[in-house]
Amino acid sequence: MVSRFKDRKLKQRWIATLVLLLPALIQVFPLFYLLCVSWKEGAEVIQYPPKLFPKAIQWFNYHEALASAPLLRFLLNSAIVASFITFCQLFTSVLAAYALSRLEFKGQKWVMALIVGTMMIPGEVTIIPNYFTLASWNWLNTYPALIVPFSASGFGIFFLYQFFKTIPKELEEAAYLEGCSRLRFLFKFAVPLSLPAITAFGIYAFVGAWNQYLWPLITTQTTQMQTAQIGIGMFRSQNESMSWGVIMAATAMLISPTVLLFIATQRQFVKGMTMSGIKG
Amino acid sequence: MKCLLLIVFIQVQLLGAPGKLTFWHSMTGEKGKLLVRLVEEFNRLPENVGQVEVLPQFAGSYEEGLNKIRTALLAKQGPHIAQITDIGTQVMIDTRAVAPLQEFIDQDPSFPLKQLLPPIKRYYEVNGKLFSLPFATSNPILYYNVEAFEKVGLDRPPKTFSELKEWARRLTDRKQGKTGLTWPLTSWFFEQFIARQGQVLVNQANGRQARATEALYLTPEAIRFATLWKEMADEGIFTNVGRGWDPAEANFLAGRSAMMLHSTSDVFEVVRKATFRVSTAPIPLADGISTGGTVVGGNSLWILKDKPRTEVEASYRFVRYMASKDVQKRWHMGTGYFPIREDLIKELEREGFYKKFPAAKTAIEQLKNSAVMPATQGALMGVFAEARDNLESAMERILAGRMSVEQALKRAKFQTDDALRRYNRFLEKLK
Amino acid sequence: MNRKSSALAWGLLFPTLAVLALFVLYPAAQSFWLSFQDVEPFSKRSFFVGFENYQVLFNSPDYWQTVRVTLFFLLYTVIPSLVISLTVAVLLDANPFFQNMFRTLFLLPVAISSSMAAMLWIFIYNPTAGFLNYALDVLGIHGPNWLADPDWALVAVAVATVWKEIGFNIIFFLAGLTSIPLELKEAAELDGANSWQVFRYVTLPLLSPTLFFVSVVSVINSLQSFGQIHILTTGGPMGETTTLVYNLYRDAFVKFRTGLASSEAVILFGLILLATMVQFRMAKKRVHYG
Repeated sequence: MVSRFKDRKLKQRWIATLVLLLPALIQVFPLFYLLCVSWKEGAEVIQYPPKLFPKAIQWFNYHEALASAPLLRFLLNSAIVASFITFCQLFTSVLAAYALSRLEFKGQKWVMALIVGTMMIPGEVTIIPNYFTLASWNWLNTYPALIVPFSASGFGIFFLYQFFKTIPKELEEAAYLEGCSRLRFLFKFAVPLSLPAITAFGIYAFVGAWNQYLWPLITTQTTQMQTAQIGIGMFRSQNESMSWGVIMAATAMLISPTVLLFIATQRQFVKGMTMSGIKG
Repeated sequence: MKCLLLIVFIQVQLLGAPGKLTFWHSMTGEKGKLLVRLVEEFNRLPENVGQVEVLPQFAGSYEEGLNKIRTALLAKQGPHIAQITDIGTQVMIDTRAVAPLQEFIDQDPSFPLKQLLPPIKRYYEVNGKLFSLPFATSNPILYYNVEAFEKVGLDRPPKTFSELKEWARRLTDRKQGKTGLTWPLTSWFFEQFIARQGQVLVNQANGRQARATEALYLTPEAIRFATLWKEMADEGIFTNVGRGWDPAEANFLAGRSAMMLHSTSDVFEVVRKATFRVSTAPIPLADGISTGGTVVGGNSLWILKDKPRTEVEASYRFVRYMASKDVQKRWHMGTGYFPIREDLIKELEREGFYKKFPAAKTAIEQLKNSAVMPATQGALMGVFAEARDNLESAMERILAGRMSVEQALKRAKFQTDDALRRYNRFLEKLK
Repeated sequence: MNRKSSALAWGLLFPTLAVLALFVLYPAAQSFWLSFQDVEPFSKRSFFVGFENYQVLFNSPDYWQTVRVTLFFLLYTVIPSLVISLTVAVLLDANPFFQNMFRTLFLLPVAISSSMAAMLWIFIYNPTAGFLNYALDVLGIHGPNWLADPDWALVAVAVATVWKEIGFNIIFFLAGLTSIPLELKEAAELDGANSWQVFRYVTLPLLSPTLFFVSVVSVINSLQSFGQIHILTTGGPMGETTTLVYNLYRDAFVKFRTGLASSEAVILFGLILLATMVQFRMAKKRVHYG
């Protein structure tokens, strides 16, 4: 009986592995293709019939991309902006989620509804009014202009709220009996306990911030302030032909920071999401 | 006393600090690199070092750039100089935030106004005033694969619509999946072929006499060209690659279409990338119609006025520099946009440049041979981007067989007329 | 104690509320107000026009087309991404060989933005040099010109979207799956249930809260898709990929019809709210909380 059960488990493992193979290949193909094209030279890219593999792994498209736009500066700007946005979103979301999930006050439900409601407002709507707000403060073309409007997140609060809710009431009461204040409890217990979830949300926030396009395009006024996403616009033209090898090289360089960050932190990310025990 | 010192300090600051001029552009890739290099050279000129510094900034595609500048101008945060697509001309004038180039030229006899090619100048002249500097100008031309031509025994490019069709038919090889012809699905070709037949695109003499109120998409000329397009696509001798300029070029360069209509602005790139011999020719004429001509395309440089006077004047000096013979020569040779100056064309001819690159000469000849009439002056309207979108949607409907030529063009006309009415209504309110 | 707690709560909420009020709610309120106005294209001046903007939209066949396109886009993205990600998550949970490698591969697109993802796909779809049509040619199928064909463009955009979206969904499903006690499944297996029956009668009901959460987030994300459309098709051909959000963008930023765009924003917000409420309603009946 037991061995039959084990056989079945082994069979299941094999089936799962085999079935996953094809979707995994499809999933990774665009990234693989990106690298292949980025190593091809001009004529190779557009030849018909196309060949999947480049003749050799060559880096001239990368050199060309770096020479055509100040990509390193753009990457630096993106790193600064995305880090600050992540930090601010974590800070505001932790505080707000804690207040909403563990403290009692009048109007709690309404505040929660309002915050969840902000998730439903399409971002395109806010661009022009926010532009005027920042212009009137003389903030255009500064880092704060790229950071402050995104320093709170409805999704972050909604997500962390779910997690803080799962912290047992008894733990909190015990802590209060020991004379622990509410704020102390937040930083001593709630935050460390939910570190995986916070990490997970942090990565999510970082990727989201890294990927903004329209807002930085409109609010920056010098090349020194532009971010990585705009860099790709400098290769992708709607009015002329494109050098695909260079575009793909630039794309590869611009996505690699987030991809590498993700690979490096993947375990925490998955753990964080897993532990948050989302129940809807 | 302190106050006085402060004032003196501020004065010194104002005089001493180099004026930084922001310059928003939409050039990408190689063209963007060359543009930035030209700007840097301006900054390094002895008279500018420590005085003026132009800071180029990529403002997104033409469409995004126009959107960025319109948003910025609403908040009075515009740049000093902006590179704007040809079809943004009317919108830029209507912002009332620009300083017409003409006002500077009138004060400055050293500006090479006489050298500007007349057809180019006429496009950017509104009510007799030159508003902006036509910096990068282009024209549609026919590119063809000489080797494919030889294979089927063709020794010259097609000159008329019926020849175009005939040539395309002979060049089509269904077994190999090759067609005779391709071009990007863009309203630009539609506009060009209407002008080529001597017809205007919108009323009020192409919006030049007064604000246009009606799109003329249902003229025989418009229907003739749309029908030709449709018939060739249906017969399978034309490859519809969809919107965007890149897929058509890829198709042509891969040898999958033997002829291509495209902008001259990519001429050097196409010749360089092709693995076969490429030649160029003027775009074909409608049978029996020889009036009309092509309209210049491209973009121009605008000077914005809501800035300190010294900065506006410095902006003008930058624009004048961009019109200089040396800059125009390098821009032409580095991109394929053609030279805007007569003396430069003569110089290049003397140097034998066009003997080496005859393909680059086609557009210049074509434009010079265009008749002087409102049709070839190009249309002006404040809703040009929207009009293009309507027309491209119409062509997509025609090619997909969802609507007849007349139905689809009628729909596009209705949409564009409506947009014109809305736009004009606001401008009347302003008065 | 209670008053102190409430003061603390508001204090903690202050930074969030300040930012959201200034940069989300104020613009949203302004949009609501502008949706009853006609705004001049070259100034910030506007005129009250009542419900005219809404009337224009309701009477416009083009707007109804964007509604249809949006609904189809929802259908093409949410359902496949839910089905695929749930399947993959269940398989990953079945302890396959190379589990870690598989998980990394499936989750990678999470780190890529929708517009960057679109950059990867645009070249795959290229009719001449792209690999997709060449691969189909080899198989003897003549592939359409994906992004230019009115019948296929929306599907092509949806595929790129699903490719990017499933990573996130898989994470949530994995989270849900690992929280299901193993004993429950084993007990069912010992009772003679086959794998499908275990999935259908044990796993799925226990996973329903996660499924609900993921579907809410997917619907909201799908309704707000922008980057991939902007890069792949700019809404064409024939407007067949112009969704409500993309139409809003074009009306606001290309056509400068601020009033009209504002009323589109209000409608879109209403639709998202409605979709979320319907999902909550359905959840009440179907979702089993553990």
